[in-house]
This record gives sequence, structure tokens and C-alpha cells, in this order.
Amino acid sequence: MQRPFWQTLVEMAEAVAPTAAETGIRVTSLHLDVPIQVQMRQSHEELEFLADVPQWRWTTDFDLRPCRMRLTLTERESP
Amino acid sequence: MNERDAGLPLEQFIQALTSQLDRAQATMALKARVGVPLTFAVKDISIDLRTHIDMTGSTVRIRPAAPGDTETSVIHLSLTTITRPMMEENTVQFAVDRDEPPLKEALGNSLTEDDQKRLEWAGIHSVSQLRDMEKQTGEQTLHRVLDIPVNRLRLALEKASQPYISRVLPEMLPNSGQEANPLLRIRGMNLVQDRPPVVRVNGEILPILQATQKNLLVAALPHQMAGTLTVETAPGVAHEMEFDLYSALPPTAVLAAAQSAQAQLPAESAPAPRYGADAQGQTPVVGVSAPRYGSGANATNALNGAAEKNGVEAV
Repeated sequence: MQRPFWQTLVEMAEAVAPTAAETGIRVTSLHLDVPIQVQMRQSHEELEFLADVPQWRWTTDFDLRPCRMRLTLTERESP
Repeated sequence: MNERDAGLPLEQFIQALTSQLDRAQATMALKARVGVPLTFAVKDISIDLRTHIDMTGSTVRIRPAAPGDTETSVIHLSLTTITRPMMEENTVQFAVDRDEPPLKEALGNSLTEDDQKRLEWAGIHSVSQLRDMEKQTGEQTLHRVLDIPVNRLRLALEKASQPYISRVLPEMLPNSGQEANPLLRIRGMNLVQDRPPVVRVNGEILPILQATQKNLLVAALPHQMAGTLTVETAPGVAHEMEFDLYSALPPTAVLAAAQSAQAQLPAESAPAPRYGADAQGQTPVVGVSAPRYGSGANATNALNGAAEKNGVEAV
């Protein structure tokens, strides 16, 4: 089951964020180039964009062919 | 996806995508509000989307590739964050004048859905934008660029230049007192064409005090504060609107309206006594005696003052 795209993005950001506290290394920006599987879903009369990393390393004929996403996350100070 | 076979309009897809990005940004920003000094934000994102692309009329539809699809197209989407000033600078002003009818309503069936979509592509979202574009480029250029048949375009332009009433408001002159009957401020568009318009309430012609493309100020008697308002800009070219201002009037004015209506009963065919009419009786003008708005020179001065204040041209 694929997740809404926003959840995937937040989880990717969260994967990096704790490093500052644990290691003292501060990550200022993050560039990702990852395969993603995308789908559209009608949810509560609203069109929802689902996108997630592939569930399996090897894609079978029954799986969606992955698309490519390049993402840049940067630090943002609290307002 | 329910619309899998038909695909979905590209605009809807982009809206769904940006809505997800907004939600991600909002979620990450929440952390900052609970005391975490730094958080991440999406700066740039690009997606190579494997999809099928179809055209239905003038709508671009996409259908994400399904398992097993090999011959797909790739749409490369790049999104970046922009600041509010950048957004304001780069956003087309979609806000249409409140007194303008929506393009669809004004043009009716003269243009098809596809034609209207082509107008939107050219940045035409309102009737006045359509007329301005026609003035600047000419009908033939519009036809050539937008690929809308000339006869349909001509019909649309004709409809776009017809008078349209959007609102009728009571307006008191300065220092006219509580007892005075308000004037009628008529808002809309194309209210004046080659000659001053003829304004009627329930068939009775009203004197025009000011007239511009978007504004008319007319004097009405107390019993003319409701009914059918007609603005005729040329023979046979008119717009009608039902209105009722009695609820907005003070009780004294409503009483005066009742008395005025009674007084009108025996002499329905007689012209309105408080205003004069021109020689042809077509376009009444403010008469020599207009006691409800002040008399003689005072009334004229007051009206001219109101005209200057409103920045409109007096007839």
C-alpha cells in the first residue's frame, strides 16, 4: 500500500534530522535521487497523489515501473 | 484510480501534487513551533513521471503508467519554493471586477467549452479582457492565434459588448436630509455606448444624472425603488434586472413610496412630474424643479460635486 506523497517526504526529512542531536554533525541540506512508484487515488472527492519508494529491490511485471525523484531539502530556522 | 482509463487533466494532477508538497512543508514547519530550532523544508523537487498522455478536446490528460506498460512517455516536472513577493509578481491577476459577469455567463453558448479554454490559455478570463484583446490585436489575430472560428468569435465579441447590470444601490446625496428619496446607483458594464442609455423602472423612463461604462446614477421617484430595471444602450440592446430596495430604505421613504404609488394610479400615462423631458421625450434630464433632491442650482451643484467625488463623468 503506497503512502500519500507528503508522508514519504516527511519521513525522508526525519531520517536525517536526528543526526544533529546524536552525532553533533549538522546536516544543512540533503539531495536525494531515488526511484519512486506513483499512483493517483480518489479520496473523499479529492484526488490524492501517492508516491513511495519501491517495496522490492527487483521489479516484477506486477509492480509499477518506478519513476525518478530528485529532492533537495534544506534547513529552515524556526520563525 | 477511478479515472484510470480516461486519464485525468494535467491541471488536476499538478494541483494534487502541490497539495501534497504543501502538506509536507506544513508538517515539517510544525516541528519548529514545538521548540525544535531547525527543521527541514523542501527546496527543490523534480519528478520524472512515467505516464501516458492523451488530448481530449483542448484538455491534456495524463494516465500514470500501470504495471506492464512499456511504451510510456516521461514528464519531467520540476518544482521549487518561491517567496510570497515572487508569487505575487508571477501570478496573473485572476480577480475579475465584481461588476463584471463571469465569462461563461456573458458569452453563454456562443463559445464552446474548448473555445473558452483557449481564451484562458491566452490569459482572457473576463469579458473586458476579451474586448481589450480584440481592440489591441483585432478579430482576425484572435481567430488565428486561438483557432476559434470567426463566426463564433464575432458572436462572443458581440455578446461581450452588450450592457450588463450587476447591482443596484440606493445613494443619498450629501446634505440631502433624512426625508429625501435616494438616487439609484446602477453598476455593471457596457452601460454607455454611442449615446446615453435609456433607463426604465417598470417601463417608466428615469432621468440620468451621471453615466459611465460601469456606473449610472439615476433619479427615481419613491415608487420606483423596486421592480424591473432596464438599461437600453441602443434600440433593442438592453439588459433587464429585477430589484427591490425598499428593505434598505428608511421608514419615511417607504411611506413616501406608498403615497407616490397611490398618486400614480389615476395618471399612469402622464410623465413623471418632478423631472422635465427633452423635446423627443426620450432621455429625460433633471428638471428645473427637483424638490426631493434640493432645488435648482443647489441640486445641480450637489450632483456635480457627487460626480467629481466619484470620479465619473456627468451627462
